[in-house]
Amino acid sequence: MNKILFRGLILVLSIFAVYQGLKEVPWTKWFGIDEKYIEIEQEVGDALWHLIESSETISTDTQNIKVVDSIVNQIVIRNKLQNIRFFPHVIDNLQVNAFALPGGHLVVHTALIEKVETQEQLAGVIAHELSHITERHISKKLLKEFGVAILTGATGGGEGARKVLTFISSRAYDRTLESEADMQAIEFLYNAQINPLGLAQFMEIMSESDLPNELDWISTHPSSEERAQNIKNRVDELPIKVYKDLNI
Amino acid sequence: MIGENPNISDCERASNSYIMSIVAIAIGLPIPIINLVATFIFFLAQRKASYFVRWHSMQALLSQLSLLILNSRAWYWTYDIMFRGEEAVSNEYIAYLIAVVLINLTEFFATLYAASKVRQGIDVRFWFFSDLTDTFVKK
Ligand SMILES: [Zn+2]
Repeated sequence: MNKILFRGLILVLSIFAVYQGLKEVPWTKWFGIDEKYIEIEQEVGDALWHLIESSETISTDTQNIKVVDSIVNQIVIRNKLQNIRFFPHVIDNLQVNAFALPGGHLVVHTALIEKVETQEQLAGVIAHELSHITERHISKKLLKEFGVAILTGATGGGEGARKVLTFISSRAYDRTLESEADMQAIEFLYNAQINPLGLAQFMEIMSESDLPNELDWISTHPSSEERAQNIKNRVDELPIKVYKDLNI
Repeated sequence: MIGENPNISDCERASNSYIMSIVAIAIGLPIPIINLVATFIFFLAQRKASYFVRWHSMQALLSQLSLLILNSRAWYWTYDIMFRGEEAVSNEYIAYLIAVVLINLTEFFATLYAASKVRQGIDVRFWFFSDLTDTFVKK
């Protein structure tokens, strides 16, 4: 009996070893699967952005656009993210909201720009959304909710795309993805020499206001105070840095 | 040798259980349950046969059973990616598929070898599965 167990164990272990070895090979790279996914994400993101473009008013406020573009640029350059393409958009909308689409599209509502007290707070929100893009959270979220079928179907526009869009712009990610994005945002801001506490401050502002239609990814989240606290704790751990004064 | 001297028709019958397996592996990779059903039917048919025949159809059955588990997991994983969108096509997934195909191929050639040897009345003992067969098949 012992012999059988021993031999069985060896068999299982050797199969496992073969699997572990095969896992080390960059198959998805070799088969171009990573590029394919990025391509699909780009198509889906572009289609979703066109949908917004056709139904919303694009902001013509050059100052707002300049501020958003400048913050994105500073974060991109100081974090060496030049290989990812970002498309920041500002739209005239009374809802305090900002969200990321697949394919690098970042949408900021003018109401959010008016709501923030400092440019650091705006930078915090932007860094958070950029993190969702760099960590590819949007695609993960979409895959989970709609599966591969709807994701590719969404490129055709129409009903499917609208559903996807509502989903992206209105629902919070799960807790782990949100705090992952918060932590990544702190790093982005820190490297860009922007005070990361802006993100915590903005979350506190949002948790205090009871306005309806508030920034969903913060207000629907049960623990925005907790998130603000986690951000402060993380910032405390970082080596002290002199942040630059954002004055765009 | 197991001890008994198998006669010619016994050798053929024992060998046939491996032939059955070969067919089962070919169809069983896309449809895992075929592996088991085919070999199990054959195993049932041989219940009253000689020890030599029973032993070999049991060894064929047991090695099919392990393939069933591995192949089913491959299918379940594929289903997850295609229809539930739980995850993307990952390195882990591709590695698993390749491992499963390799194991199926190994099993295929081992079974082919066993079928031809057993047909000549020569015993073939698979690692682990033969030991397991010993405990299940009694003289
Ligand atoms: Zn978020």
